[in-house]
Amino acid sequence: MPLLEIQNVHAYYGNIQALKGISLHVDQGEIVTLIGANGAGKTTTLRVISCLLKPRQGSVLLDGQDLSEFKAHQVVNQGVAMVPEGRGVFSKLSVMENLELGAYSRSDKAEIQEDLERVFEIFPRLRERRSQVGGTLSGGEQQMLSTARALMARPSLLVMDEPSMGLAPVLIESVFESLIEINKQGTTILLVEQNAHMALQVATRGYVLQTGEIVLSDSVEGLRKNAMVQKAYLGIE
Amino acid sequence: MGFDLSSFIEQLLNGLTVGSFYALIALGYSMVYGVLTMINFAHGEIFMVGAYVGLYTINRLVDVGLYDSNRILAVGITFIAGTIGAAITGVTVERLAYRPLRRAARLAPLISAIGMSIFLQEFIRLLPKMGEAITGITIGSFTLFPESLQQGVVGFLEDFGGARVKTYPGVFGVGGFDIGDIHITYSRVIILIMSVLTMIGLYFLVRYSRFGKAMRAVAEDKDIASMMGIDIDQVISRTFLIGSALAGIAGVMVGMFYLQIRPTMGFVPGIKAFTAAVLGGIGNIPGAMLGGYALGLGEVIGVQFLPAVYKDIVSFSILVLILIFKPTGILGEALAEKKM
Ligand SMILES: Nc1ncnc2c1ncn2[C@@H]1O[C@H](COP(=O)(O)OP(=O)(O)OP(=O)(O)O)[C@@H](O)[C@H]1O
Ligand SMILES: [Mg+2]
Repeated sequence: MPLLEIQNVHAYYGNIQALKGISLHVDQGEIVTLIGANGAGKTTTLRVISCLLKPRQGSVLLDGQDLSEFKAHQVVNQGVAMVPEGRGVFSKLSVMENLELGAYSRSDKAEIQEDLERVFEIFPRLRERRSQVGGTLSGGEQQMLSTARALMARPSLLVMDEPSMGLAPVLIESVFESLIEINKQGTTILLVEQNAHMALQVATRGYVLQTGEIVLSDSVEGLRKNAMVQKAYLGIE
Repeated sequence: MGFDLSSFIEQLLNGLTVGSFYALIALGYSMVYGVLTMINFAHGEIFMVGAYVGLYTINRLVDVGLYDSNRILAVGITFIAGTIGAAITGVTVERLAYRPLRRAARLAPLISAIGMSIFLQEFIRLLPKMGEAITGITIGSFTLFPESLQQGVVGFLEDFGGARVKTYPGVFGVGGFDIGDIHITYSRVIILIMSVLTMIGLYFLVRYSRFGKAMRAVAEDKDIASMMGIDIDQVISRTFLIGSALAGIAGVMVGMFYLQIRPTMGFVPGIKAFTAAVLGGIGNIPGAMLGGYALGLGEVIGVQFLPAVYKDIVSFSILVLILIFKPTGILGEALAEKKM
């Protein structure tokens, strides 16, 4: 059984249809990427997974369980943590407070402390900055914080919305290296990206989303060789 | 008009007392604004209900003799009752006037809150009449309530509310102490200390507790807060609860200090405290405290130069001037840009 399975999801904003029946799945242990241009519906897909937007049709299953029974704040307890678009760091809260909120749904104090050590090991920068408020971090540091905060939920599935957005190439590389590390430590990842170059290097499989529809689904090798992907997302004529 | 230092200092003390009331009420406006970006127009009435519940409680404690045998305990119980009464009222207002309209246009919950404010005022004012109407219902020759019960209910409601002014017992008395030729009443000192301690408690709650962090997260971004597992509705409800509890404390204090309470008593302090919240920077908790004291002091300084009846003109001129020249207040940041 896949860890996450999206079946024929249709989603609307008022009368505007943003998702036109998409289906995808993510297996335990994988890094799967969802690539698409601006306005393709990537963030909308993640809002559906977060239960912030109820699909008009179709369903989202996590470990076989239908997520539609849950409210948005209960999703993290089911093992899904989000790194939202634009990072979504709480700018007036300190780095520590942001991380504590990442573990808001947990009560296992000792293990939370362990996870704190673990994210500080992955992102040593955050340890140095722990009493600084989120809003004064650089873009790259905010990305680290947002990722670390999601990990504090000890999720089985980490969902990231364009983590490379607005970062310099070397920073993007380090973000993706940390993703590989996180994945190795046992967290399954769904990575939404416009930066297909990088996404196709770290992922094992990928989907291409175009105006609310999945138009392609393949291994990353297959996607890299695909003429349409090369032209639209990799800039190769 | 000669300058008299000792009367000026007495006026300053008066400013701090009134400022304590404004600050406690202003906190509720500011906290609710922080999580909802909306003004709770029923907040003044929540304060009023606190005063009424306190009054009813203290009168019963007088009846049973506790007020005479252990006044400190009786006053403590009165504060707790008034606080709980206001808190329940606040949570109910949120539930009825705000939550069902969470996704509606912004104007809708404001209008429903004004409706709640009118309802609460009229409810307290008309309680005895409602009691008579309900207990007087007859079906044919059959009366729903036996006469004795009817009198009991009407009596209870008359003790609780009604259109007439009601009077607190003089808890604080007029006792005090003198420094030079300045007379300081104990009541002012008690009010100031209680208010400051309450606000310090609130500060620590917001800064360090799990709820405080969740509340600040909700104030920044509700969607992302809910991704963290924070139940937004619960946080909003508790924010109303705490803000209303503070207004309830102020309600009981005002009752004990000025003695007289009436159903309309929430209106002017409500608007003044709103002014204080705006002055400090609405949405900002230390700002509301600062704004409350600044407004209280501003009023007494203003009436040094103007007849005392111009006090309200001073406050509202301050409100208009801030809204024109510094709408973000003393400590506020550009909320408008973030929240829209
Ligand atoms: N709140 C909203 N109200 C109305 N339409 C919306 C809303 N949010 C998104 N849309 C529309 O839904 C479509 C999909 O938007 P979505 O944000 O999912 O795109 P995206 O793939 O994440 O794009 P980007 O790469 O720019 O973030 C777009 O056409 C967008 O205009
Ligand atoms: Mg997006």
